[in-house]
Amino acid sequence: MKTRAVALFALVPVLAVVMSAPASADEVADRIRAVTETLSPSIVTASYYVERDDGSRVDARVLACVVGPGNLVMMSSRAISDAVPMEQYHDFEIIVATGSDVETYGAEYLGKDDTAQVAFLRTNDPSAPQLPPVAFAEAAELRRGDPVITFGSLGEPDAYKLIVQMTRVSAVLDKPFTMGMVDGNLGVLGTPVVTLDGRVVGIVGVHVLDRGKTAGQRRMQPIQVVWPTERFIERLKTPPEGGQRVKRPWLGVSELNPLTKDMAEFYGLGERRGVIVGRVIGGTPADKAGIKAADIILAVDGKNITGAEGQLVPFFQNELKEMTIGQEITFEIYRDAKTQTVKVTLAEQPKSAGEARRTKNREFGVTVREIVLLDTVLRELPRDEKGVVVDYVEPSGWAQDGGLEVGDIVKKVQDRDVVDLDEFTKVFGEEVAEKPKEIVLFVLRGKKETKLLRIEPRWDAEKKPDDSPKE
Amino acid sequence: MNVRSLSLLAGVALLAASGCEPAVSRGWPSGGGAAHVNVEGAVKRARDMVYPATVRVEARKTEYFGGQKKRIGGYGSGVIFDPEGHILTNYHVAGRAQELSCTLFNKERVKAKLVGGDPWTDLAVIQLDLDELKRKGITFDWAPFGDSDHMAEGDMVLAIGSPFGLSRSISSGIISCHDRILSEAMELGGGLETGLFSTWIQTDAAINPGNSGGPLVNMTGEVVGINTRGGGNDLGFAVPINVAKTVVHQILANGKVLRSTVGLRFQPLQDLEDFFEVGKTEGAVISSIEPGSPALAAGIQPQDLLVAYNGRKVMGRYPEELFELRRMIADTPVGSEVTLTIRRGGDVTEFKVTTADLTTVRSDEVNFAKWGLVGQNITKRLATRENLKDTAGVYVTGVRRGESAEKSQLREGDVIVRCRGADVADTDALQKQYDESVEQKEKWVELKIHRGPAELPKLLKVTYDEGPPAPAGNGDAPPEDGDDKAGDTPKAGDGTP
Repeated sequence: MKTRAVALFALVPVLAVVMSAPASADEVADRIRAVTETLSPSIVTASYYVERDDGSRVDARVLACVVGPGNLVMMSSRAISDAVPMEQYHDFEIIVATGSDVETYGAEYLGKDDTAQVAFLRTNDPSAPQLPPVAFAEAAELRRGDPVITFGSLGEPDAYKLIVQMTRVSAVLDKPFTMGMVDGNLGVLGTPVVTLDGRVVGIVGVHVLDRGKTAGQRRMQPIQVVWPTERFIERLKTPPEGGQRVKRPWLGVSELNPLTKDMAEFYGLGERRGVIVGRVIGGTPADKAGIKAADIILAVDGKNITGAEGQLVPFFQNELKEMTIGQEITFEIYRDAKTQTVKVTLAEQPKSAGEARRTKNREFGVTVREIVLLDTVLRELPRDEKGVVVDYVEPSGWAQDGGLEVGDIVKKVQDRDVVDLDEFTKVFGEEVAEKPKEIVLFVLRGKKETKLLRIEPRWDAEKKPDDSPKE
Repeated sequence: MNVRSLSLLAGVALLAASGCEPAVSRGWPSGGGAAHVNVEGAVKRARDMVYPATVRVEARKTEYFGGQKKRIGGYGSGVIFDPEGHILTNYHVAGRAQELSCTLFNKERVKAKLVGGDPWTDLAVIQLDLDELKRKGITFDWAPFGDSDHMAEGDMVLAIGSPFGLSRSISSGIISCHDRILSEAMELGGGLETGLFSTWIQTDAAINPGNSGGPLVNMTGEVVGINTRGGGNDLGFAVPINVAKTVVHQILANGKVLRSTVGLRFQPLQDLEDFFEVGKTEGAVISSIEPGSPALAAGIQPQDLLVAYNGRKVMGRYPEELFELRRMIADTPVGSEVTLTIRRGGDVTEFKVTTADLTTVRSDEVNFAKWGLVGQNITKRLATRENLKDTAGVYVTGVRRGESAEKSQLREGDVIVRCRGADVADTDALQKQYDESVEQKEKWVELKIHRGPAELPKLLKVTYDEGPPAPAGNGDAPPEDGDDKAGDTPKAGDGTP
């Protein structure tokens, strides 16, 4: 008797909650449909292919959205790799699907901004209809529990029909800046994230989450997040041009470690936190400003570096990303038991390996490229190291048979110095024109070991397949 | 050799000469008159000369792995080579052992001590405890060294040792190759390198784990190699005895082997004769020069040809010849002035260079117990391998889980260069700092480390809650609580490639 009464009482509050819920299941379905209908004219598919070093090709289809007039299309910056030169990306197109009607229009790749996690294209076909841009909310205002809608695509066989999914914001991160974690899956990277009431609060982005230490190792896990509009809205207004990567401002330090609570206490810095600079790369803004290895940076332009131990380095790195190239910033630095200020003028981030110029020789089965700063940093070589880096060696090609390996720095060809890519192209070209029975290269392998490699060209062997990309 | 063996030998020879003993063919071609070999007789003769001198070696060592001290047991073989009870075996069997025990041919067990070892050739010399022998009235035989330079493919050999612990086993085969190269430098455990200064005798006599350190014997009963590696499938490798002779000589004289280096690395001249416009046998190609080396300082360059060393013509056409060349350089007394005759382009120049000590990458490890880390001094070889500017500092070889160093994110490979505000030159300097710090029960210890090209401050947080602090010491310290005891069951001590 008593238990039944208790059960009834328990039921009443539950009923009350259910009846006062903001939207019934039917209403939610209606809202999802309404949001999809509003946004789907702006959602398109970007298409291109990547030519790999061995000549094969990889086709890509990436869900994207129109964000500006003239069919300015935005997709995730992760669609374009830094390791692959842009010359190896071909045939950019925009695929527009309305119902079962699928149209493809030529497009031009404009460039990307890794910090904002976005890349841009624009249709260059005059017959392309002007598609409506997505209206992004100026500020995301994410809250835990908010339901959000994201998109996917069924792809070419199903006329690129949109898939819709809904999940809820499970946490709002605030370091290094605001982002939303969700309890389920988000859609395709770079596609809009919409609330039930139709506000486009951002796109699907990636964040590397610090999972803390397990058995002494720090575990980093990349997760999908709601990438709020604040992170990229400015870039929409000034998209890149000419297929270039938007350059980040660059300081020239590496091996950053967090200033732990213990260390702050030991150094008498109290509640202050910061980052320890492990390495200052020669000739960089940091070097020119007089920053030294083991310096502790406490504040950037008056803004203290704060957060939990795992958040300090990302905080600092993000502060720098928000700055501009050529900007002069002030660091508050702790060195030798006292603090001081240091002024630094940020430079442009150096060329990546993918942006380096390269020469490909199909006959020998080798691709070489310029040495970039990162090569000298990772391999502890002098900044002005001479030579070219082997970027690709074709399996069973002449170069590989001669013992050439990816990463080798070629310094001499047939005993003639090759200081850079142009000289290599010239010298190598001259030497092979003679159809010699051997080509001897002098290379640097690893950090300090040099050796001679003898390539034996098989001039009489069957002709190599030609260069044109396969259909 | 003692009288008993000699008489046995004489007896067999007499019988063979008299023609009474039938030839045991075992599939070998018979006939040929005087050239006919009494195979079984020869094998038995060889057996009798060396078998009684072979021992089974059991070794116990305490080593640091990831900062944790672990006791490991292993076994191998060895051969007694002089009346003082000196035994030649492999470094990887006995070279780092704290306790050694040998089981003789007559099944007696005697303790032994390490005289010295040489990781570069993977050889070690140990010595039987003569007092124990005298006390227990145990006698032993010893076996003579032969000449490995005159061994050739097809020569019959025996391998004697303790494969898988089965003592006093003999296997037979032939020399499959008398100058085998496996690879330039092989890992011997603990980062040590071996095999750089000699080629191997390859044999199909069965060599298994446990055979390590045992003798390879020819048909005249002489030791021509020390069995060191098994490759499986009838592939066994021995260190030639002529290489061992120099090593043994140095170990008996100095307890270790000193080798010179000038910093040159070579590659074979083969196929590059046209490129260098030289004859077939003119020198060795210098492929690389180590940073900070005497050769670099003298102005020698990669792509130079070394045509003579101290006036002696250098053969470097084949990879096999480079091992001999490296040995020639290494065997030069450390600190000698040597003449390197170099051909560069069309010119031949003589460079005078003073050789440096080659060293190995290892140095005695010191445990800094309260800090949770183990470190060693930086040898020249370690500095070269790790691309370090110099040998100042303490190289961290182990960081214990859950302890102070690990919590401060110190790692293996870090070099401690400063501690508590003072420069740290070596483990002695660091130990001094450690002792002071621990005595004062300092909660915080400030360090500065180098990690590759980076320089970072580190702060150790030290706790002193249990009992008196353990002293900083080397592997001889008694095991602490919670140590892994590997147990007494012997494991294979052989290093198979």
